[in-house]
Amino acid sequence: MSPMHYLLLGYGLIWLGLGVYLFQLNRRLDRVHRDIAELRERLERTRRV
Amino acid sequence: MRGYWRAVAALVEKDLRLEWRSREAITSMAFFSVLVVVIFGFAFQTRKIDPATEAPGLLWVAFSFSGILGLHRVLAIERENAALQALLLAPVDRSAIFLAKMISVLGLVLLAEWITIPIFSILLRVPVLSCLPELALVTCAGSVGFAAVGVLLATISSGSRLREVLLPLLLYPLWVPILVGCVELTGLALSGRPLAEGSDWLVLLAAYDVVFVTAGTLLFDLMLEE
Amino acid sequence: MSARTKTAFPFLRALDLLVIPMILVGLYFAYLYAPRETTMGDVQRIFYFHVGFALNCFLAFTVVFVSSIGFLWKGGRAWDDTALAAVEVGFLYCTLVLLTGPVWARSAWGVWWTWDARLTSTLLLWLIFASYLFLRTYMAEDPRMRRYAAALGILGALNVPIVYYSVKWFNTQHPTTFITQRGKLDPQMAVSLRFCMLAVLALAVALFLKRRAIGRLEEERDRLMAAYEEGEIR
Repeated sequence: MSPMHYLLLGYGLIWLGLGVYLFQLNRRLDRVHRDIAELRERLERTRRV
Repeated sequence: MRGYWRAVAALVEKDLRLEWRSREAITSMAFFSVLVVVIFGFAFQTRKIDPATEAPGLLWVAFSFSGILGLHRVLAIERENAALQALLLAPVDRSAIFLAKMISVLGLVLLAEWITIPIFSILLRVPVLSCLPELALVTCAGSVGFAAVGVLLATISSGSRLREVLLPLLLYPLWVPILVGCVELTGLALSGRPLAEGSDWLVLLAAYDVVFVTAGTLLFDLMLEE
Repeated sequence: MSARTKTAFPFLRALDLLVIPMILVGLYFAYLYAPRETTMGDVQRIFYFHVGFALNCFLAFTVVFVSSIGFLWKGGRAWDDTALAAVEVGFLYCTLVLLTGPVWARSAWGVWWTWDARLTSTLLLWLIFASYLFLRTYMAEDPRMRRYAAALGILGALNVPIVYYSVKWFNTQHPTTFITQRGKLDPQMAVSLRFCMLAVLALAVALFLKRRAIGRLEEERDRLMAAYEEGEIR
């Protein structure tokens, strides 16, 4: 592999890593959001009973 | 204001009196830093080391390691028998407690350093007699910063179950800039050159000392509240 | 409760649609549009993103400084969530600076790493904020952890100006940024650099807002959880 290939490989990995981090943040956001919705629903139900 | 400083003096006297009775901290610190010097001597199989480059590095590695022992000890005094809670009831400003702890640590660290230097000089044949005032100045300037940031971070880490692990992890990254300055200046001193050649480093050391002492004084109170 | 938490974050999601194309255009600018540098060759192209990462890393740690002071002064978890989000983004960018720098250094100086003022102080900043993240994980259960983290954040961020000015204060081989000498820079290079910095800033803002939102939501979740458990016991 030439130095340029190493460079491109390294850069590919960096951008891939950033993409994974972004994706991960989106998933965490969704999960916490779902948790909150579920907890709210349960709270409502216990209050009605 | 005079009452404030009298409180600081009383707290320092308490710490040093306790230390004088047992001499636990100072003996372990001095012994440990001499051990580091000896280990270096063996590990690198040195007959004679370069006073300008290797000697200052070796000395400050030894000081950095042994200083941690002093911090643990001075904070442990307050943790045992919940003495800190009693101390917090005292009618003094919390920053007085910080300054007192800092001065106690500074005293211990400096004493351990000044015990190490002559032994180091004999074992590794680095002449220090001609530059003792310079070495005293550099060790003082470096240790003030170490004691200030060390006491603050030791207070923080002492709440943790992993305090022995956490303290060096928190302390060393913040301590490195001071360490670099100390190593440069000690190198100048040991090779017989005037400290004025490294005036940039002296300014950097002084700046860090001022920043860390100020930050410690302001932040310490907030670290103690439940 | 607040309407903001009920929506599925259309704004935060829309940010992705802005940021990802910006990065792709930035890559085009850096690797295809900008002319080849004559002395350093293609490796110089690293610099378009390297500079952006570095400046935004300083920006993030400045946010850490302000929000940590805000937390200690005013209190409230929002300040702490802001500080943590900024630390994560700043730390990530600092890591990227430390990864991209050596690739360039290997080709320009012949070594991956030298103990140069700018390099060393950037590494130091990375270590300091690594220890910040250590503190938060090791003391996660301690109620005082947020205050401790704020103190460490302030102490750490105080090193930022030293890193920034280390190039001026000490003799260093590290090139000073090209922005200050715009006249010398090729116009195509200048456009590429400016666009890449903007793209990296947009990415930083997007990551920061998402991370901060997660922190805010986790607080809400913890509160609801406590309320729910209290109801169960009754």
